[in-house]
Amino acid sequence: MTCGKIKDILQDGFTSAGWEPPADIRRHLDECADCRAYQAELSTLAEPLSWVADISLTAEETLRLESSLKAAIETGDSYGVSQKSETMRFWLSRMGFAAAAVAVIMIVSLGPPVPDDAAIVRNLGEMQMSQTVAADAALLLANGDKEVLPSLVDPDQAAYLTAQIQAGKADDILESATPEEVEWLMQNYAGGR
Amino acid sequence: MTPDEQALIERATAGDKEAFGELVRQYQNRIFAFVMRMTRNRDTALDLTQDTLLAAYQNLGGFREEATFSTWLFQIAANKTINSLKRSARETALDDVDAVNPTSDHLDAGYIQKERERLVAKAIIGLPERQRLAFGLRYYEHMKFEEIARVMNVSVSAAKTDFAEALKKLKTQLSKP
Repeated sequence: MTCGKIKDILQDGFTSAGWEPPADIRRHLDECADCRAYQAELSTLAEPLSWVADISLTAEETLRLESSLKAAIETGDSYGVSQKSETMRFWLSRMGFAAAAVAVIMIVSLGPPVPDDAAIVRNLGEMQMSQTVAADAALLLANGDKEVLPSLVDPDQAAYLTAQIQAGKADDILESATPEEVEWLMQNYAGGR
Repeated sequence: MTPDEQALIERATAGDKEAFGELVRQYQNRIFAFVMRMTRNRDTALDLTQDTLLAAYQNLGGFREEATFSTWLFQIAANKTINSLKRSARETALDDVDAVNPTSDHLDAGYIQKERERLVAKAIIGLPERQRLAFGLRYYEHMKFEEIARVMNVSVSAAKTDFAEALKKLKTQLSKP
């Protein structure tokens, strides 16, 4: 067995409480100073890491989490796709991501919004784009992490989003974001650039 | 994935809220602990756990069984956590990690335990995001590197490197006198 493989096994053991190396590994350790040193390094870490208590939800937090989740699912969350028809869901998701993308483009290209922007986009509550979704998409795009986007949304959504950006449909999309959402994006992203 | 879990996922995907509720109960603590180790803030961790589980519910139809349900869920949680950390434009200030206020009897066992926990938490939160992710998924979640790579959207060798680097840094941090 190679040293690399031995180290992998030692690492595996290190992440499992009470693990002892089997006989073949012990024989290798007897003969290999490098692997012994690696094992010693892992041992020095094991103790301090054991100082950390398990993290778990308190009963009150569990209740809060389950009831707020239940409420979001029962009533539809802020972007409500779980309660929509498949067709509505399809379009809402695309509009949401496109709105986020164009908000980012506007932040970059136009600077802070003027008051007229708010007037233009007043009716966009129907869009129901959640800040979380918008923020996720906007942040990924702003960071140039387009390759991560498909892990967050499906590839079709990512492709649609890219197409929207390339088409520069800022005006259309502006009509899909509430003033609050635009302001929130500005506050959270504009300062970073 | 166990047959029971598979059945729960199928029922939840078909709109059975009770089945989804059971999945939530199975995973909520693990997701919360994972996010909490990344953020060290209970309120943020609670919010992100909720966001993760809600996103999972809304995207159950998109769950492909190329990955396990657990890996898929952690992938959502990791994305949301990383985005949240970036959004907040600051990591938890290291000196604020569960700061312990010494009292007159500050050498008691409770104080020492809290101080030890604070030191470890500070060392973990001081890791770069990717290393912290790799460490949390490997050490606490016992995930294989293939799963970690999928959650982190990186190659297996990159995930291994991140974990090894995390160990190296933690050792340096925690062996300081």
